Amino acid sequence: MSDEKDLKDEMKKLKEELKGLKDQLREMSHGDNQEHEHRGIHIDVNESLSDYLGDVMESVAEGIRGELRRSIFIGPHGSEIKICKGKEEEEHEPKTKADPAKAAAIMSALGQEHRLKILSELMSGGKYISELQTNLPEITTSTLSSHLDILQEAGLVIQERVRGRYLITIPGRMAYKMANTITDLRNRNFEI
Amino acid sequence: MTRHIKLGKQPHKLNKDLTLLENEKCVITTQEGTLTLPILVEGNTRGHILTGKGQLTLDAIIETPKGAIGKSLITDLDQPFLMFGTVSEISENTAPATAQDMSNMGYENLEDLLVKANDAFSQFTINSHKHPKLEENTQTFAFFTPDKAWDILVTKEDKLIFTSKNKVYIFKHPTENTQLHPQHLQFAENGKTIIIGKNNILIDLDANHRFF
Repeated sequence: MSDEKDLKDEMKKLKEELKGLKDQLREMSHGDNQEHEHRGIHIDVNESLSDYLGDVMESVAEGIRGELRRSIFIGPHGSEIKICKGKEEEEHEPKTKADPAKAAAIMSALGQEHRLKILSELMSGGKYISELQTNLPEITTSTLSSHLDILQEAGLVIQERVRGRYLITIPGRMAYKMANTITDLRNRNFEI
Repeated sequence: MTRHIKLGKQPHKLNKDLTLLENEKCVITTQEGTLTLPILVEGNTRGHILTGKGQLTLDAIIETPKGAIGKSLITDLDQPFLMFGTVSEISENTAPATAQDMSNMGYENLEDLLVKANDAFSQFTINSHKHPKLEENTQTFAFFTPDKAWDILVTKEDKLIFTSKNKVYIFKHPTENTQLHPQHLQFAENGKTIIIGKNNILIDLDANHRFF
């Protein structure tokens, strides 16, 4: 009985903590919007908010899991609590395995320092080639064009025909994030 | 109120290359020699059917915080297409077409031109487009596609809508006075996908897929 009460109290406490965090976030994002509207620029509130809330939910879930493990006996095949993110945040799971040759071609497009720098530049929004040249002076004009062709061929970048801007595609963003995530994980392992 | 819309019978030809539409998303050009027939609404010219050579360039690309989706379309306008809206530029840059002008564009004679133009025009009016946008500052284009369908493009001020097969693209050009926050919403259900990106929307009525 005492364990059950402790668990309920703990869950209540966690719920309150989550509510407080949500309110705080709402205020922060509202404040940010007002501030940026005033300055005439915008930020991607949605993405950072949903990521942050996802992390908060995961940490709350971990807390609940810990309490359950301490309070209730869960056998080797016991239930596991899963906090699912909303549908929009679900991981994209391919239905079939990718053709290794095609996957290798895409990864090959990604596997070049300058091309990763180009993707990094495009993460903040569409850019004209002149802007890329200015921001990436270490890449010569002809090489830059060649890299952009390779990135387009791999479907990581698309060029507008009317304005001429280059835009990073959905797969392009995913690929860039994947490269960063792997590198980050690798760095952490080295530290350990 | 039912409006009386019909095709004129006096063909003209363009004296020079013309850009019929140009903005950040789309460019429509026609070449010198292209034939035109007026579209008459209650006896007044409110549009043209054009047949000859030209090009449609459209960036049907939706920008979302998760990345861009879509593609750029470049289509040769070698089939008759319709244009409603500003007509003065065409009227000011045409002259009556001769038999040679019609022959240059692949028509045997005037009758051949009129039959084919009327065929395209009636296809357009039959396919639920009996009331094309004829508002002020609105331009409507209808392009006959090889699979016997119509791609429709409508522009008004800073907005552009393009429908092709089962896809609808809606674009709004950002202006200095507009603060637009990047938002995205994806809804995929019952065989439809809707993506709302920065200043633009894609509605795909024929695909129940998730892009992100």
